[in-house]
Amino acid sequence: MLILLPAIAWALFGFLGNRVSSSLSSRFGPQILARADGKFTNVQTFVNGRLRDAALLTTGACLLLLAHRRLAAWAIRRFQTPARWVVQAWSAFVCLNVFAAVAAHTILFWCLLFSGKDHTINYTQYRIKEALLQEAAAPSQAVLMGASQTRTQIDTKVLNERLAGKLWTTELHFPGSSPYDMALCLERLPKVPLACVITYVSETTFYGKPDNERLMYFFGFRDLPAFCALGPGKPKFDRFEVCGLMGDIFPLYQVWDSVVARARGFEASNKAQERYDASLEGNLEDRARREAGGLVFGPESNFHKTSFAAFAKMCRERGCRLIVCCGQLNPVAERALDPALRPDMMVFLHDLAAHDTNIVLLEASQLPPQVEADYEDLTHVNDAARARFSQYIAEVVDKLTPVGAP
Amino acid sequence: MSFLSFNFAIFLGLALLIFHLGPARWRPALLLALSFAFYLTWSLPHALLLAAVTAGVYATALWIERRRTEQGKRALMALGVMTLLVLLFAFKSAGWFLKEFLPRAGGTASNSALLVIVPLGLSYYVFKMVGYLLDVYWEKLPAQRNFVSVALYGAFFPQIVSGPIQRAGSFFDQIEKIKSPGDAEFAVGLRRILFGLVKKVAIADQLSVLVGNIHRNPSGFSSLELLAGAYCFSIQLYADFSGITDIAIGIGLLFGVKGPENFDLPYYSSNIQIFWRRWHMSLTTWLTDYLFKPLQMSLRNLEQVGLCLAIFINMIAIGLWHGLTWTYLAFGILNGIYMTLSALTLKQRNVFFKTRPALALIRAIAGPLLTFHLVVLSHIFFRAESFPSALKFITGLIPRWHGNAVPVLRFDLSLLGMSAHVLMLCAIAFVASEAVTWATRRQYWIDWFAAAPVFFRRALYASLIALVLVLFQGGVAFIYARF
Repeated sequence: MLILLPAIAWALFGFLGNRVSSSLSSRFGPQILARADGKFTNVQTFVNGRLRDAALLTTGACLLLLAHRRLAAWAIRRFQTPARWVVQAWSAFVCLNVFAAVAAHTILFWCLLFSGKDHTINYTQYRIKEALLQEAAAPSQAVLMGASQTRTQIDTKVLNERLAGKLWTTELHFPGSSPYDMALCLERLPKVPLACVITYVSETTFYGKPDNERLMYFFGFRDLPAFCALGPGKPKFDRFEVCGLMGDIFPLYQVWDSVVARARGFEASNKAQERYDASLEGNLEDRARREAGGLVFGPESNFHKTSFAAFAKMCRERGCRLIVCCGQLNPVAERALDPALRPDMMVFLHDLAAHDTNIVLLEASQLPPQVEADYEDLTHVNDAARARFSQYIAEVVDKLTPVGAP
Repeated sequence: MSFLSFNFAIFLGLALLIFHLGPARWRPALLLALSFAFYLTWSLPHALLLAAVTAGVYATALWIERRRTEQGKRALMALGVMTLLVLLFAFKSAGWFLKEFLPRAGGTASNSALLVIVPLGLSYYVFKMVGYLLDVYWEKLPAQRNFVSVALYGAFFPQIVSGPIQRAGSFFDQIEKIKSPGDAEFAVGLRRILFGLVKKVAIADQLSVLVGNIHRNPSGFSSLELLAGAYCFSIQLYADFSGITDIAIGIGLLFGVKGPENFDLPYYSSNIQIFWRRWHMSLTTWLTDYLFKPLQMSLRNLEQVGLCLAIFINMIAIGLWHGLTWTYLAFGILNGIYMTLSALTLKQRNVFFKTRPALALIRAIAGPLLTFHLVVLSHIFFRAESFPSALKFITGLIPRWHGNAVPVLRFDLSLLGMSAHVLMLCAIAFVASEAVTWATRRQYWIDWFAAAPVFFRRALYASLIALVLVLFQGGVAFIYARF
């Protein structure tokens, strides 16, 4: 039965896959598109892909169950209890991890963990968007990378409407990302025809303390030698890096947060963020002063710059243009900042762009100006400012991208 | 590596694999290597300190045994015990100094600095080693020739984080003939771990939010809220500590080592003396044997005064064992007062109730209730962030002394950071866990559970595992892991 079931699953997919996906997309297309929120446009391709995922997951589950049963039977012959139980438990655990590894490569698995745009943890959303890159039908693609500032400044829907058929843009931000995180994310992106990477940088990108929380998702053994060779200012090797390494060995570890968040509900999983949000000063001037204190020169800022240079180099090696919006912060925040930061950041970016023609620098003076009223807090703009900014970026990208690139 | 982490689960799985598949004669050495590997995940210097302490104690015990004169034995014992106690005092007082005096001198002591200062499980392994040296000196136990056994006694990883404090004799007996545990023992171990996890995750961790909020700012809450906070902390502490003890005993059983029990339904004790015989039993019996009894013997000429002094010193030692802080000292003193008064009036109380059988029911109900409330009161000092904060908490409990504008009878769960259904879950989980603890001490219920359908048991285990996974918050450390 365990051998038959995968065969049946693939046969059904082969014979009925297209018909079922076509029928499902015609019946539920609008609902699926509404839930997708502009992440894809071809419902039939999406549904067909998920049917293939289902067949793959069925195959994985059946084969692993079979392998576990074989191992368990071997343990019964070979060991006495309780040693036998220990071996059987390990067998089950290893099989579960292999299944998690297989499942993590399917969009269906991540979609099952999705509970709405505002009720799903960042990592799940990131993995869905990352996996969907491979299903985009446009001849070339662009990605938005960076911290939440990049996401709130640029709306991919605006870009995709304007550049439809020419370039498909996927938003792949991860809140709080530093240049080092961005490099790690880029390294992991599937090999799709990427025409450009768009990012929004400000003083917060280069002068904050490295916060290595995201490394638990993106750091792995392959990054370890390079990490050890990094100069001063790099994040301290601690539990987040260890978590990343553990995730490499045990894929279950990597998907754990997403599974638990789905099981417990987003509210229960988001308590730490809620506590952080509640701890922020209500008065923007006070908050700006406090946050400005954390943005300073030092080995950390050098580390951020080196990482950004490495990120730019990776873009070049991948053959995709790097569009850097040297954007602004809320003027309230800018007033509280050390005035020497921006010139230093611009010198660094100009220098980088001078040595790398692949980089397109969009300076604050070229970008649509943003006033205090455009901001919801110190770094995030409101919808109107976002739309304005996105239109401008769409124009720039449109000019930069010839038809059929890359 | 906390017991409540994925990393520890992996470590435990690997340890079990190595232990059970490894050759039987290497098992103590394998267990020792695994214990040090576990300790190394916390700190290398502290692991070296543990190794040095172990080597010192091993040699001292052998020397004590080889000495022919009583004087020589006593001198060596005193040297060994004093060295260990000075070590404990030095580390504990360094933490205390950083917390109490550095801020006054303009410095700051972060929590991580305090953690760096005090080695993991120091109080536990020092007490174990002191007990071992005294047992050898009193000739209750021969000095252990096998270094691995002594080293494993100090470093045994299930017990190093927060006990229980196992006696050397019981440990060595088990280690010398260590074998793969039987099916039943292994299954009991797994059940104990699961039971401990449920207590920790479904009760202690849930209540920690409410308790933390109240203790951070006691003056911001009403008398009723403070009262709820005081009750909740006592339950949290019990669930947390008995939870980690269950986990430690359960893990020990997976490796064929049975540790001592630490709790015996303490909150239903009819008086404070019984409470202390049922709470943190491994520490209280240790102190009774190695501190209280010797003290009582040496002060026996002072009769009642000597008894009171011995009790008082014993209780202060219990308080200060947790750390050199004013709050733990107050906790010890308060319990010393309770215990002294209880010991002095016990006879009279017994006579009073014996001559009035009609009041027996009242005593049976009022005794545990009063004892519980006395304990709750002393736990306020145990939990408080500082001594003034504890006083503020206690004065806030009394409506007349409640000095702020908060209505004394206000009870707003949202302000306490808790929802009604979580509070209900905690209450149900607590009652259920106490019922299970009670039932596991009665053969009828043990047999009943063993005879229950397999499906029922598996469904129960599966639901408890699911409960732990769903409620697991991570990051909430065990309270007793910091001692």
